[in-house]
Amino acid sequence: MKSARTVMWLALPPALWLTAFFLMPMAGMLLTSLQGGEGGAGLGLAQYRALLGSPRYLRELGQTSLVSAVVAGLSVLFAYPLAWFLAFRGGQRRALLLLILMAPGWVSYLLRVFAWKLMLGTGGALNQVLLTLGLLREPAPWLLYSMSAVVAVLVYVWIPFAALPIFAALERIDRSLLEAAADLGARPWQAFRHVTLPLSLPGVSAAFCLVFIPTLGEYVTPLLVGGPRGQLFGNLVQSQFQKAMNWPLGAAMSLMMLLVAVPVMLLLARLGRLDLGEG
Amino acid sequence: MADLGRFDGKQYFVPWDWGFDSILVRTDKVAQVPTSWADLWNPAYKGKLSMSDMPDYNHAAAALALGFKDPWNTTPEQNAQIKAKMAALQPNILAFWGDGTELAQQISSGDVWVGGNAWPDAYTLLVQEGLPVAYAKPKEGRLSWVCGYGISAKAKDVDLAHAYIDAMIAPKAMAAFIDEFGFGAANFDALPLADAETVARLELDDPKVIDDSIFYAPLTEAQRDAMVAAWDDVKADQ
Repeated sequence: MKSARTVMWLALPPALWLTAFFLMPMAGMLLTSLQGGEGGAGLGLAQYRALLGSPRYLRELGQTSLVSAVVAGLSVLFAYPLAWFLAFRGGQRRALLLLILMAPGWVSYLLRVFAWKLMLGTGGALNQVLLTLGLLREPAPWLLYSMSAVVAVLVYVWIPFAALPIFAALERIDRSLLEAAADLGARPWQAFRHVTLPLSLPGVSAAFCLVFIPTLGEYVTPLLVGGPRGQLFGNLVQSQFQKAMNWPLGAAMSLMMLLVAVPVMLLLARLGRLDLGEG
Repeated sequence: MADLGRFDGKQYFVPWDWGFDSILVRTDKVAQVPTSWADLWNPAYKGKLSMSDMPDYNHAAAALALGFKDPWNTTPEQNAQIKAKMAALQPNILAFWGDGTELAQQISSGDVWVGGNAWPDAYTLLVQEGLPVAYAKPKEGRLSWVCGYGISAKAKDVDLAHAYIDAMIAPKAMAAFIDEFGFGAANFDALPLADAETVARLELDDPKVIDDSIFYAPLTEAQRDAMVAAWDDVKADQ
């Protein structure tokens, strides 16, 4: 009894916090999205009808989901070797290396995006290198202000965060399992393929989620480096709130994004757990 | 300018700063300074143009390029033409800008040659940096806007609000504002106190530059929704 009560008291602050700053705003958003019903008065599904009736919104949402999946996939791909190195080869300096990995986070996000602008711009470092190597005749303007610039910046930003859950999952792996695999004649890559990788999948799926979901709602990066061909669904939502001052439609669009995010999250959570069971 | 703060015969806000939207070009990259809003569609600017991401700005630029006299009173047929015109501009657009400093950065880096609907602050900043730039006077007229201060009906301390506004529009404060940001000051008493070069460059002391321009007008909700939808449509088709 006592422990149950302790748990309840411990859970109370986060529960209150989430109610006040997550559930209530969500309810407010839901309510807002139902406004502007028929004839502008009362509650209704007018906003949702407008969204579903226009192929533009669904297409943009589809494209943004795809971009988010690419960003999440690439981040995980690049983060995995980092996390693996930290977990298995980091040794005593593991904490220091982890700190170095997170170091870019100390610099303001805006400054880091501007650094990318300097690298990718027509007079930027990357263009200069390509020109010098003779791979380009004239500076390529599409390196910056494009969807590829958005993906590049987002992947760069997310790699350290994607590495953390993978690192945590790799850390938890019982080293004797790998010794057993070696004893039974598995080559290192076989041990990785059949032992390490399956056991780290929960971390991988957590990392994917951690990147995918915030990217889905991203609008600052496209604003800065996207140009006209690199805008995401979040920019459409922002334009409804800030330019059209059409909050109901913007709220409905945000909730539509949830319809993409939640199934992906559930699917990944299930994948992670299933593989854990098998291992 | 004060008229824009008046509704139903009552003055609701006092003008504070004003400025233009016009075409800003790097004269070392672009042979001729544009003379019309229609010049933005010049194929030579392909991938070298930066526009503001604001729907009404783009609506107005397209409307003036099409020769419509009043961009804020357009018929549905004209709106359809404007949308097509905005779509035709997309190949030229490399980037969007959110504020004057961002535009100035894009232009000074050389990525952007033409600022489509640039504010005077970007122009002033680039001149101060010593870059060869020109701020066009399109024959249809520059667009111009004014911002100001109003007091909320629920204000608890109206005297304090008045004191604050008085301080903001004081000639000395507005002169510092002109020097710092390169926008116009609604209080013309500030002009003698401001940097003479900036005043001359933007012709802030010549009422004619204001008379020749087209002021932004208040929009109805329906107008604004339609402009946002048209602009978002145009962008989504990219």
